[in-house]
Amino acid sequence: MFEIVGISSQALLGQLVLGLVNGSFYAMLSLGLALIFGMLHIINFAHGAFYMLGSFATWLLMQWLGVNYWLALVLAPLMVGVLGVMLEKAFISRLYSLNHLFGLLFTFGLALFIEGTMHEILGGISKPYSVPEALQGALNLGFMYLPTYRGWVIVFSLAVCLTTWFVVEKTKLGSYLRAATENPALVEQFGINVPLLITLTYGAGVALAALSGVLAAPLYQVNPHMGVNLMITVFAVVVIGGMGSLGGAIITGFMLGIAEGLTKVFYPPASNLVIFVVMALVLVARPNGLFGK
Amino acid sequence: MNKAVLEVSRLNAGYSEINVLKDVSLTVKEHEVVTLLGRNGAGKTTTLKAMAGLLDDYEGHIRFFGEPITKLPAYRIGRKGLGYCPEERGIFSSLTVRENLTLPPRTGDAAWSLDAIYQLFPKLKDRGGSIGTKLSGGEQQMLAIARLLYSGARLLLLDEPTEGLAPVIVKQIGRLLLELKAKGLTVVLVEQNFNFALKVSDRFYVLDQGEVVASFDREYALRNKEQINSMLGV
Repeated sequence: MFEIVGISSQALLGQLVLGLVNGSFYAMLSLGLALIFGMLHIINFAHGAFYMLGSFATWLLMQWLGVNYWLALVLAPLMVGVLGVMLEKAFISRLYSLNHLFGLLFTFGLALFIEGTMHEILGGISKPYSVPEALQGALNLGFMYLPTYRGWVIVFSLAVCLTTWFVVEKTKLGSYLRAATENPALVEQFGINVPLLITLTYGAGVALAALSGVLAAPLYQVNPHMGVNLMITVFAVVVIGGMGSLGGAIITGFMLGIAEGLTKVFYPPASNLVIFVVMALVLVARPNGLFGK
Repeated sequence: MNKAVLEVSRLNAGYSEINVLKDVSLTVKEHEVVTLLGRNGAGKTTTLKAMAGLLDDYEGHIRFFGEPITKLPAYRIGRKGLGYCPEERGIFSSLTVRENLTLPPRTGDAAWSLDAIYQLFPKLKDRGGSIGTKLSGGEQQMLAIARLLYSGARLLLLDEPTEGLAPVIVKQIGRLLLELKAKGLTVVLVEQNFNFALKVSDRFYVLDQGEVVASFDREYALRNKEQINSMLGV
């Protein structure tokens, strides 16, 4: 096979695919953040905590009830989503009339509370979760052996992202969401229950985070702080993409996953940095982000 | 005697010390076009917003077809068939013309079919796939009104529908309002353009500093144009 500056195409393609795996998580998480931000104008700092709860719900469902991965894929986001709905109703909805900073502070505190509570109850030790039987093994892509589960993560998250994008951009429900993002008062006057729409949007965004958490359970170890480091990167992704667009969140997520992967080939030490370097450059050139309005 | 569509009694609203509305009372009967006149800041828009359910804090009572709607959540007022179009028209830039048109849920049996709407507004059909805000100002105003018809609104509250539009478009809107009135709709207008209002309205209320200072019918208005114009300060 061919070589680029002394690097085999095998290594390049391999890292590209692995970059897509990370990109899958960036895309799903930043999509949820963008969805929530559009309707609530709140940067949901608790997003990583809900991601972690999704992972824990998956693990606990298995430990306590013997619920398998496939069922957890539905149940865990549902459970965490319902928790999100209750939190929005009980607390966050009271903050809309205040400065948006309060929403940010509240969700930040919420994240610390959730993570601390999980740490207290279940301890800081990572819990292993095995890959479901059907997704064990590896796929021969010609240039590399890709663990089947990683391939599944890419395909599944791509499907989830596209479905979410389709629902928001192309359906009736989505037109309510888009309109309410622009002018909630008028949409409400048209007879649409906007407060309910906002609550459900928060629930959906949180459920997306939890769904990422389910996907992460067999890949990374399940522990109370698994969301913290990931979210730092995801917030950078959101800054790069701009808060305005869901499509932008998805594309930026995958792109930056790839950028990270490719950096690993050329100069591994910079791979953890590259996203933040891109963020700095984007902030200088386009402060509203690549897809921001 | 037509029945009352809207009864507003003793509306008071204000921000801290300033009274925006003082004891505003008015009645709108079925099939009427009623116009609120007054200078900038007289409280016309605030009155309209209160009726539409978009004013958070006010005192007084509002009835719609005899049913109290005072301080109901806006979405419940909208669903009763009280349609509102703000001054800036409220066309959404993230929605196509068609999505804008079909956004409101349909209520009651007064809701117009898309066919009937397209017959009256052929442009909206031709440009259904364009972004709503890409339409011209006049087309956006037509879209905003068509949207209320689609929703099945029985009462249209229109805030300055002619603002910023060319005279030929203003004429079209005038004809449209008369046509809608002939079809049995009731309209409340807020207008700065008295000459336009005179062509379409049955009755008038004049607001000044948040108070109703005069109310008269069309005949009176036609006979006392000069006096009314000077009252409006134009």
